[in-house]
Amino acid sequence: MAEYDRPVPGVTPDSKEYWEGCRRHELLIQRCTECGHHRFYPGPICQAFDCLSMDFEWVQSSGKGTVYTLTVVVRAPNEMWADLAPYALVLIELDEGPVMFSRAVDIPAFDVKIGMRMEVVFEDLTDEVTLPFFRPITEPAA
Amino acid sequence: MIETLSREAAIIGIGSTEMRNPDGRSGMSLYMEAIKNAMEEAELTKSDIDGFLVYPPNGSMRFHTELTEQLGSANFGKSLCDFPLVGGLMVGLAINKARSAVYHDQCKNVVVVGGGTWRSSSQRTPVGLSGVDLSESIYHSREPISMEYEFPYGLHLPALAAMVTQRHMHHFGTTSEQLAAIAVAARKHAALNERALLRTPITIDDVLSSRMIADPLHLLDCSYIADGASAFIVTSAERARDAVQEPVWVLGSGQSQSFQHMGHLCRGSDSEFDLVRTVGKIAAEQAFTQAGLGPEDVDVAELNDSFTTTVLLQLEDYGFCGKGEAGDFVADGRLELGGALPLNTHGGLLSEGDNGLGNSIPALIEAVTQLRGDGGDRQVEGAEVAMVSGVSESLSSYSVALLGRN
Repeated sequence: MAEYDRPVPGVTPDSKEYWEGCRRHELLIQRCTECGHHRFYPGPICQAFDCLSMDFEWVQSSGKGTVYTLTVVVRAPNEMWADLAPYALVLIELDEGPVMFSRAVDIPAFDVKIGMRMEVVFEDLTDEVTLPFFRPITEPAA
Repeated sequence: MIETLSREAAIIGIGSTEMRNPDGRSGMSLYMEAIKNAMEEAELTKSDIDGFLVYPPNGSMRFHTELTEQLGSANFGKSLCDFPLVGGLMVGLAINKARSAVYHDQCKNVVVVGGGTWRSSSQRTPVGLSGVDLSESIYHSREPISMEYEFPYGLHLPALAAMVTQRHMHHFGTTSEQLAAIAVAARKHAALNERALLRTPITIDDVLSSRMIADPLHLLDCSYIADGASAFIVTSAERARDAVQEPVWVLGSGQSQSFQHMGHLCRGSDSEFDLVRTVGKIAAEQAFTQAGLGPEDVDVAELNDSFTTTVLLQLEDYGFCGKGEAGDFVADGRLELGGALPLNTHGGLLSEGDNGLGNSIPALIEAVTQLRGDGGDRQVEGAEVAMVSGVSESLSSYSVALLGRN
C-alpha cells in the first residue's frame, strides 16, 4: 500500500467498533435499544430528546443520504491537502437520521449541491485505517 | 436572581498592546503590557487587584498562575485566579464571573486579560492558511475541529464557517455581495482607527475578487490574524463611584453553548436550533432581560466577526432583524457610522486584527471607548448602550454583554 501522509483518525474506546466496521467496508452507527434513536458520532449515551439509555446496538447504515450542506475548500489547511484542492467537504444526512462529516468523491467539487443524493464509499488509507467518503448516486424516481 | 446584578458592576480600566508584534515578544510580555496599561489608567496598585481571569495565549492550564507569579509578592494571595478556556466566546463568560465576584465581595477588582501571538507563531511554522495559523490550534483537543471525525477530511476553520454560510444562502437566498457589505463597513471604520492593521478602504468588488478560501467565503470574509493582548478591570458599583475613569456599567450579560461538532449542530429535529438558527438567541435574550432593554436600544454593536457570516447570524439571532433577513439588513450602509446600527466601529477582527483566543476583548475595549465618548473620529454620537459579543470559532457558542454609559 502506498504511504499515506495525511493525518489519520485516532480511535477511542467509544469508536473502536465504528472504525473496525469501516475496515470491513461497513458503515456502522449506534441504535438505542430503548427508544430506537440512531446516533453518530459514536458515544456512550442516547442523544434523543428525552432518553438517557446507555444501552445500544451497532447497526449497519444503508450508507445512503442527502447533502445537508457543503463547502469547496480552495485553500487547503496546509501542504498535506494542497494537491487535493479544490475538494468538497460535505455534511451528509443519512437516511437513518444522523449526520456525518465527510468529503465528496467521484464528482467535480463545484458540482456538489445541497440536497444531492449520495452513498458511502470506503477508501483504505493504510493497513489500519479506512475512511468513509460519499459519492453521488442516481436513484430511480420513487 | 441574576437580574439584580444589572448596574452592580462596572468596567473602570482598559488597556491594550499594539495588534502587531514585529519583535516576536512573548505572550506573557504582551499580556503584562495590557494589564499594566489598564491598571495605570485606573490608577490601581498591584494590591488592589485580587482577581484574575486569564485566557492563556498558548492553551496552557497553568498560564494564569504563572502570570500572577510574574507580578510579584503583592499578588501572592488572590481570591480569584482562573482561566475561562472557552475560545471566542470568552468575553461574556468573563464578565459574568467577574461581576459575580465583585458583587459578592469575593474580589475588589478583577483583571480580565486575553490575546495571543497568532500571527507570529504562524510565521514560525510551515503551516498556514491565508495567515490563519492552524499549526497549533488544529492539533489542540479543545479546538472545534474533531481530530477523529473531521480533520482527516481536510477541514479548517474557514471551511466550518463556509458550510454554515452555504446553508444560510440555501435557506434564505443570502448573497456573497451582502456578506461583503459587512467587511466593507468594518474596513471603513478601521480607516479611522490607528490601532487597526488593515486601513485601506475596500469595495464589495474587492471582497468578491479576493482569493476564494472555502466557497463561498473569500479571503476578505475572514478575520485578519494578528498578535496582541488586551485587558479590562471590573469592580463593584460601590468602588466604581470612586473610579478615576468614567465607569462603564454592566447592564446585562448572557451566554449559551450548543455543540462541539458540526454534524450535531445541523440536527434541528429536537429543538428550534440548527446551523443557521443559533443559540446566540438565548445569550441575547438573557442579556436584554437583565438590562430591561431590547435590540432597538442598542446604539453601537461590537460583535464578533471571525467571518462575515458570524455577524450575519448574530444580527438575526440577537433580534436586530428577522431570521433570514440579515442579508438585506446589512445593505445600504446600515452598519456604518451614521447608519442605524454602527457595527464594529474599531474595524473588528476583519480589519483591526484577530489576536487569537482572547479575541473578543478588543470589541469590549471599543465599546468602553465609545461609551466614554473617547471614540474621536469614529465616535457614535450620543452612544448610551453598547452590545459586545464573543462567538466560538465554529459558530456554535455565544456570549453577549450589554454595557451602559455612566
